[in-house]
Amino acid sequence: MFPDHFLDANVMVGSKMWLDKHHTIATEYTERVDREKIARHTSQLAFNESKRVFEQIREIGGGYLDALSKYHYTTENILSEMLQCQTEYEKTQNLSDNEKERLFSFINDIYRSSQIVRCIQQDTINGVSNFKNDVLKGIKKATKDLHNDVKMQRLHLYRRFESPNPQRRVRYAEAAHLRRNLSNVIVDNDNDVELLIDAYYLRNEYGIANLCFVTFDNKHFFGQNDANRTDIEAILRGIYVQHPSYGPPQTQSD
Amino acid sequence: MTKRDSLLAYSSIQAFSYQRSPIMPQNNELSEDKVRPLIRQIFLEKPNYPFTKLHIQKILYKLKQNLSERYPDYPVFDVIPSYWYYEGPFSPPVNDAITAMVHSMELTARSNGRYKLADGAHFANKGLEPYIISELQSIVKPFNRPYFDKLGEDIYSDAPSEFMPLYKYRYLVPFRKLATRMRADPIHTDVLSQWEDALYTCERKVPRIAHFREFKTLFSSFVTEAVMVMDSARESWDYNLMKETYNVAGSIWKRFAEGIRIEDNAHDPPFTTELKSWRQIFDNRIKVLRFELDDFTSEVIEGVQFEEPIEYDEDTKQILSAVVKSYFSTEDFL
Repeated sequence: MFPDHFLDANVMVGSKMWLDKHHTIATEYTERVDREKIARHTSQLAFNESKRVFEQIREIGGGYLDALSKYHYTTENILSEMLQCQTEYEKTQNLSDNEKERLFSFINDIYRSSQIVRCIQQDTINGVSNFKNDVLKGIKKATKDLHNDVKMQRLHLYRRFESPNPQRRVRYAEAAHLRRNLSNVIVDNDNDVELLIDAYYLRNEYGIANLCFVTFDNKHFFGQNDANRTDIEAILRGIYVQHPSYGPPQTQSD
Repeated sequence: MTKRDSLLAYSSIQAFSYQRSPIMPQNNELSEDKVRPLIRQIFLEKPNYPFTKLHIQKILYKLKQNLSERYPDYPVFDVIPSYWYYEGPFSPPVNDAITAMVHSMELTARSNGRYKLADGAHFANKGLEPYIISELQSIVKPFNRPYFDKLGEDIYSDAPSEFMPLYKYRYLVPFRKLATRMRADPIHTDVLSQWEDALYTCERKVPRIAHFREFKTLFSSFVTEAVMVMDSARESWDYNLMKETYNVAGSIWKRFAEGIRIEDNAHDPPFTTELKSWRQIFDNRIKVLRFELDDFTSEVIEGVQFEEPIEYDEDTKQILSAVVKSYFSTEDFL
């Protein structure tokens, strides 16, 4: 068993929701590592990325709900009005494709949750504004929760070069070499490469023999036929990539 | 001299002055010669007032603003080109002219960064058209501290981005007044809510342009942390954390100003030769801001008390499910 895990942003975020398969997996994973007293680490980069998941919706979702509260409703079909408002909002905000997809998914979900429909039906302007405030409050709570995991020492937040022992630090040339090799495996995502480098630095600086990198991201860290995982583990000695739904990760000695 | 003649004269001066380096015009004296009468006129209007360079920059920008509204086809003030920076529109020839006037003993510089007419410096101010004098009079005569604050806000209505007046006047300025005090009385919850609201609005106003992408992410990160600090201030005031929040808020403002001046609507044409170096400065400082924000996050985690455990009601669970699912649905995870 690996006594130390490094959590990707998606695993941290996955535990902060309730109606999805990711949540079930993330919760079971969290319970397992609690039970087995596994030390959880993450890096500043992953932590910032998980905050970003909430911040992005705070910005585009909050802006959309602002626009919706001022929207002139012409039909009784609330979903079609919401989507029409979305189209208009996207035009004025120059959203990226990814942001458009996220906004659409968010609107679709909140519509299905019926909470917003209830708000609109009660009072169009105040109803949507109140709902927007609920969204902002919820996001504030979730980001506090992320911070609290670190404060309460459930999660160690690693920052590069924090080791008190400078001899353990990874040499610049070595890191550059690893980064280059990893970029050949994860070709389109510098952030993910940096996350792996973080895990490698952490392992070295803290003298962790084997570190388990836990992520939901199949595309980048596992790839077709697990090829990326095999390559990553060959490049970064002592780093093992695992999906949170896998059984308890086993080291060779287990 | 007719208006057309003076326009031609100013245009040729401008072309000559800024053909090499807009920051330090090659023929500095020519530019100064045109700016000096304006500065003189400011001091003549209010001889006992100790103006700062910033005051003069703002007065002359306001003059430019008023004249461009009244005489749109008559860009006489192209001679004082400016770009938006930390304190609003900044015109290097204006600062150069003030320095030159100190050297020529027309003005005396005080140690507190203020300037006054030198003793015995009574000069006839020639070369200004009556309508310029009258416009300057209307701006300078009522000048005092509150008027200056109001002038600043007026000028920011012209800012190249909506973010600037919002962040500056709805968050940074009111926050400075409270964040820098040593002993804190309880802050009214409404005030904290207003700041929080202002930050959320500002977050939506950060320009969606390529070179602001990283800034946008960093600003959102700042909003998250600053809101937590404000929330904690509802119960107890941590002077050091507030001061640190204010310091980071100031860095955010400076980085924004360094980035926005690159945009076409934030600088006059003479500065186009500077854009490459401005971009480099902006990119480098954004990297430093990243570290500053990471440090700030650590300080917030250490300094803020959170409720434990954090409980979620059913409505909040539904909202957060929608937020997180929107993230998973746009990534290729499972």
